[in-house]
Amino acid sequence: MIRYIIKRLLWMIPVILGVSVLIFTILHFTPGDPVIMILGRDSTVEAQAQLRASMGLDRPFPVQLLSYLKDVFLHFDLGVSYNTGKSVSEEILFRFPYTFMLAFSSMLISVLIGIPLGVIAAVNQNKLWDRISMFIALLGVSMPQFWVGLLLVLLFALRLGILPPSGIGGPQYFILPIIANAFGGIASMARQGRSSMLEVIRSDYVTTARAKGVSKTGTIFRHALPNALIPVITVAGTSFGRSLGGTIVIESVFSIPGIGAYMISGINNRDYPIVQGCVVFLAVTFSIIMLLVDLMYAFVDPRIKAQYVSGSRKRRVKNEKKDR
Amino acid sequence: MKKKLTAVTLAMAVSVMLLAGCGGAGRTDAGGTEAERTTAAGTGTPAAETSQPGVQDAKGEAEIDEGRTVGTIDEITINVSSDIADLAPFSVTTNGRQSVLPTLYEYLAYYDPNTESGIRGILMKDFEALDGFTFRIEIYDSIYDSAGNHITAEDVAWCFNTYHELGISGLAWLVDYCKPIDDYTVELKLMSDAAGQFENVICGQVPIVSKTAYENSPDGMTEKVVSTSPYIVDRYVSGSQLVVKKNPDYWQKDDSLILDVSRANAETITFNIITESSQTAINLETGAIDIAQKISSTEASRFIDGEDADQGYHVFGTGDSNIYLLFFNMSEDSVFHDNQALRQAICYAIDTDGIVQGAAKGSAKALKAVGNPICVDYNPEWEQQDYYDYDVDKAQERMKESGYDVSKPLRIMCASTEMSQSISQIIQAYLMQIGIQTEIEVYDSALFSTYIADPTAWDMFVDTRMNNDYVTTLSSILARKGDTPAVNFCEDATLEQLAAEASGATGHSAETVEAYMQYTKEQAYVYGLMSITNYYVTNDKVADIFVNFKGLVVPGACRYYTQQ
Amino acid sequence: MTDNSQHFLSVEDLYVEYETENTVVHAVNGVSFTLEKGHTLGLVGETGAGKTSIAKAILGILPDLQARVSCGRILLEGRDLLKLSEKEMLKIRGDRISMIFQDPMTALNPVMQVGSQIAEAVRLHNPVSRREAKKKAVEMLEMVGIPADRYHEYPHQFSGGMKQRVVIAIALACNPQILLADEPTTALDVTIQAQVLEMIVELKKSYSMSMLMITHDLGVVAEVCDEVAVVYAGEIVEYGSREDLFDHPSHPYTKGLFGALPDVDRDSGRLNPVPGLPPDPTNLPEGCHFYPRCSRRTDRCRESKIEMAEIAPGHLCRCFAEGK
Repeated sequence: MIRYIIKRLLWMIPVILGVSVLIFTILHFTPGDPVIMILGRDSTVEAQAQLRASMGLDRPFPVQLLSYLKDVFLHFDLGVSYNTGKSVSEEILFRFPYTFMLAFSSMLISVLIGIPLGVIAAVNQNKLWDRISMFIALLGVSMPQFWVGLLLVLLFALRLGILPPSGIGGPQYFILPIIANAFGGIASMARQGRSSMLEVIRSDYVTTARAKGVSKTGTIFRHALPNALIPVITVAGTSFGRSLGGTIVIESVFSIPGIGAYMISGINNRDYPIVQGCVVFLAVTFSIIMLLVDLMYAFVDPRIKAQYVSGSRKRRVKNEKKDR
Repeated sequence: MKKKLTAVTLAMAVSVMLLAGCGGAGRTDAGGTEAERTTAAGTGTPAAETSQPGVQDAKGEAEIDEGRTVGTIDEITINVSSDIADLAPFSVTTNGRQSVLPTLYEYLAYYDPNTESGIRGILMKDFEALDGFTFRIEIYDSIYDSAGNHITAEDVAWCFNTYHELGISGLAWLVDYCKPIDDYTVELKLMSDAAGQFENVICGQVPIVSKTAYENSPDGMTEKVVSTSPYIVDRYVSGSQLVVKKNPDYWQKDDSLILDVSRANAETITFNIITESSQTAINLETGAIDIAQKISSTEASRFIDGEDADQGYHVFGTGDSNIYLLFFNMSEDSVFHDNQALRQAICYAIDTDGIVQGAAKGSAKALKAVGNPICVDYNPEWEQQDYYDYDVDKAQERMKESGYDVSKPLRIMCASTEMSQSISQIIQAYLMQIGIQTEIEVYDSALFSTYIADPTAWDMFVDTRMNNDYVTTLSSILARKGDTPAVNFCEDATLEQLAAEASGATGHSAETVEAYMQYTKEQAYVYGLMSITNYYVTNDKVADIFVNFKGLVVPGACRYYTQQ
Repeated sequence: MTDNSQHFLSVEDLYVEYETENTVVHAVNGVSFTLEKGHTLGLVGETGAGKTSIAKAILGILPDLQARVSCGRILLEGRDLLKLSEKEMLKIRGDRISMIFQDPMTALNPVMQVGSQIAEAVRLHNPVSRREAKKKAVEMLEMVGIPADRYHEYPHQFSGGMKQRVVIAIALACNPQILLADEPTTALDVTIQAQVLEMIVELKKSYSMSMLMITHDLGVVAEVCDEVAVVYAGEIVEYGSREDLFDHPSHPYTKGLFGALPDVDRDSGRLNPVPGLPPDPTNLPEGCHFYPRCSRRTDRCRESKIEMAEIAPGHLCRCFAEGK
C-alpha cells in the first residue's frame, strides 16, 4: 500500500511539469499584452519597450520557459505579480484557505443532505418521496449560482437583516456563500445517490440478505448503502477537487478573497505569474485530493484495495520464484 | 410519438434558456480593470473649498438638514469596487488602489482653480516655474511621517526619481529628473511642457514618503504603510478590507493651512471591497456601508425616486472624468482615410441623445466636442454650436458625397463592458438607417488593447478616455507623438501643429484652444459621444461628500452630522 | 379440497403475477404440491417456467413493487405463510426456511467479510454474543470445506465454487427445516458441480432437512430428488416419484424433455428438442398451455383448464391423452 502511495506521488511530478509547460505556453501565445495592461492603452512605444525589457518579456520563448521552470521546480518560487509586485505564492497561501473552506463545507453539506435525499428517492422509487427529492434536485441543478446567492442575500440580509450580505469576518459571513455554493452540489449528490442506490438494491446479495431474514431497513443500511456509497464517494471527491477552481462566482458575489477571484483578475490583466501560479498550485492540490479519494476508495472497497496491493505482491512472488 | 414530442420540446426549451443565459456576459467586473483604468492624462476637476461645483445633489434637496450640526464622526464605512491588491506608493495604478491612495498618502499639492496658480500646496509650501519644463518646489520644514521620519528635499527627489525609474506608471516618462537644491527645495524637470502635466504629476501621481522608511520597510509598504497622511493603517485583510485610524499626531499643526482634502473628519475609516455591483446597494441598505460610491444609475434611481426614496439617503451625482468616444481608422488603407464626407455622414447619423437614453438610461450627458465639459478650458459656447446634431438628411447628403460603397460592412470594435457594447449596438442601428452595414466585434480588455494598435483590425472603435483637466490633453493621443502613432493612426500636419500650439504651457490660451477644437470638429477624426454621470449614495450620517478629481470619494474629507 | 395441514409444507393453488407498465405477467398459475419432512422435491422445467417465483413466494421475498401473490395458500405445518406479517416472516427466513441462489458470483456482499456474512445470519435468529456467532460461523465454514483462517477474507478472493459453499454455509447456519435450492450448481463448472451437489446431499442428511431442488438438469434430479414436479408455463404438468417420472414419463412435455437428452449409446447426429417455444406469459392461451407444441393435441385440449389426473398411485398428470 505504501508503495502504491509513493508510486502515485512520483507520478505527480511529470503531471505538474506538463501542466506548468502547458499553461506557460498557452499564456505566452494568447493575444493580449501585459505591458499595455500596466501602462495603459495610450502609453508610448518607447515606454512599453522599456518596461517589456525590464520585465524580461522580450526574451525568446524557450528562454523564458526554462527560466520559469527553474524558478518553480528548483526554488519553489511562483514569481511576483506584474501588477502588484506581491509574491504570488504568499498571496495564494493567504487566499487558498477561503476557497478551500468554501469548497469543502459545500461538499460536506452536499453529501450530508444530498445522499440521504437520493437514498430516500431510490427506496421509494416512483412514489411521492422519489418525486419530491428529484424535484428538489432539479431545482438545485437548474438555478444558477449567482442568482441563488443574490436571492439569499435579498432574503436574509436585506429583508430579515440577520446575516451580512458580503465580505469576510466571523462565521456568519460564510453561511450564505456556503449554502449558495452547495445548492448545485446537493442536486448532483442526490441524483448520484439515487442511481447508485437503485442499482445496488437490485443486486443478488441484497436478495441473499433478505433470504437470511434481514429486515428491509437492515438490507438498506447494512448491505445496500455501503455498496452504493462507493461510486458516490469518488464523485464527491472529484467534484470537490474541481470546485476548488470553480468557486469564482460565489467569491465574486460575496466578495470573498479566494483563489477564483485572484485568478480571474490575473487573466483579465494578463498578469501571467498569477495565472501560472494558481494553475500550478491547483494542479498540485487536485492531484493530492485525487490520491486521497483513491485511497478512500480502497479503504471502503476491498476489491480496489486488492488491486492496489496486488501490483506489488505479484512482483514479490515473481522475485521469489526467480530466487528458487 | 407523444414521448418524442415532449423530449424535443424540452430539448428546445433548454437550448433557448442556455442561449439566453449566455447573453449576460460581463455582468460582474470581477477583476475591476476595464473601463476605469486611470490612463495617461488627468488632474483636477476644480475642487473648491466647500461645495464642489461638479458634485450635484441628485435629489435636488437642501444642502444641510435643519437642526443638525456638522462635524466629525467616529466611524464611516465605504465600498471599493475592485481589489485594492497592495498599499505600496509606486505600484501599478488600478481602480481599487486609487480609491484608497488619497487616504493613505499625501501628494505635494491639490488642484484648486480658485487660486492664481491653480494649485494649493499640501506638502508643498511654494513653487516657481522657471520655464515650461523646470520647476522649483519648496516644502514645509515641519513634515513628519507616522514613524517620526522627517521629510526633506532628498525624500521628495527620491520619490520622483523612483517613480520615473520603476517605469510602471503611464506617466513615468514625464519625469526627467528631480534633484534637491537645499534641505527643503527640489528642482523638478519634466519631459513635456504641455498644459496640465505639472499639476498632474504633483497632485495625483507621486505620493511622498520618506526614503528611509521605504527602504527599511519589510514589504516595500505593500501592507505596512508609513506616510505623512492624517490616517494610519490599522488593519488590512488582503482582498477584503482596509481599516485606517486617524493619526493624532498629524504633522501640519497650522489649521489654516490644511486643505479640505486633507481633513480627517472621521476617526476610523473602513474600506470594504465589494466586487458585485448589485451587492453595493444591498450593503448600503443593510447598513454594512455608509457611502456607496460609483453605483450604477439603475441602482441609484432606487434611492432617488424609487422604493428607498425617503429613507434618509442622500444621492449625489458628478460627471465622470472619462468620456466615450468613437474613433475612425485613419490609416492609409482605411475607408476613412481621405474621406471626410464619410466620417461626417456617420457623425450626423448618430444621435448622441439617443445613446444617452438607450445606453445610460438618461444618466449621462451628450458631448458637444471631443472633450469633457468638466475641463477648465472647455468653452460653454460649444454647447450652443452644432456638433453634428442628429440629422439623417445631412447624413445622406454626405454619404452621396463620400461615394462610399455600402455593400462593404464596417467593423465596430469595443471592449466587453456592458456600456461599450450597448453604445456599439445603438450606433449600429443608427448607421443602418443610412444604409451602412456594420459588424460589432467585442473583445476582453487585454485583447482590445492589443487590437487597437493593429490598423487592420478595426474600422471604428468605441472606447473611454480620461479627460478631466484640459481638453487639450487629449491631443496627446489624437496626434502623432514622436514614434508613437496617434491612437487612430491619424497623420495630419495641421492637426499636429494646432495641437502643439494649444497644449504647450505657454501657448495654451482661449484662441489656440478654439482653433484646435474647431479643426478637430471639422475633420471628425474622432467623434465625442457622451460622459456618464456617476452616482454616490450615502445614508444620513453624511452631510456632504467630497469627490476628488479622479471621481473617487475621499472619506476623510467628507462632512458628517455629529452623532446626536 | 384435501386437508393439507398434516403435510410439512403445502402449497395450494398458488398464483403469482408480475405487473409492469401496462402488462401483467402470469408467472405462476395455480401451482399445488406438498413437501414432507426429510424429502427432496425437484421442480423441473425450462427457464422462465416460474420455478424461482414459486420459491421466492414461499420465502416471501418476491420484489414488492411488481410482484403479487394473487391467490393461494402456503402452509408451513398448518400456518399460512402468506398471511403472516413481515415481522413474523423475518423470523422464519433464514431460520426455518433458507434459500440458496443460482449465481454465486453476485450472491455475496462484496464489501463484507465472508465470515461476518455467516455470523450475521446466526445473530439474526439467535441471541448470542458476537464471539459465539463467530465461532459458529467458523464451524459452518469448516463444514462446507473452507479453512477457518479464511474467515476474514472478502468474496472476491474466492472462486465460484467456494463462494457457493459460503452461500450454503449461510443458508444452513441456523439449522433450517427447509432448504430452497434454486439451481445451485448451474453456474459452476461440471467438476465442481459434482462436489457441491454431493456436499448438499450430505448436509441435507445430517441436518434432516427437507429440500426443494429447482433445476432444469435431469441428471441432478436423478441424483438427489425423491419426488419430482415438472413445471411448464406456471403450472405443474406432471408430479410423481423419481421412479415414476424416469420410468413412466406421461405428459407429452415430460416425454419431450427426456427425449431431448443425448444418449451415449445411440449414434445420433442431432438432438431432439421439444419443437417450438414456451408461450408468452402475458398472454397465455385458454386450456392447455402446451397445446401449440404438443404432438398429441386435440380440440378438447383447448377448451378449458385441464385438471391434474392421477394416472397411478402418487403419479399425477395434467393431460387427457394419458390414462389410456
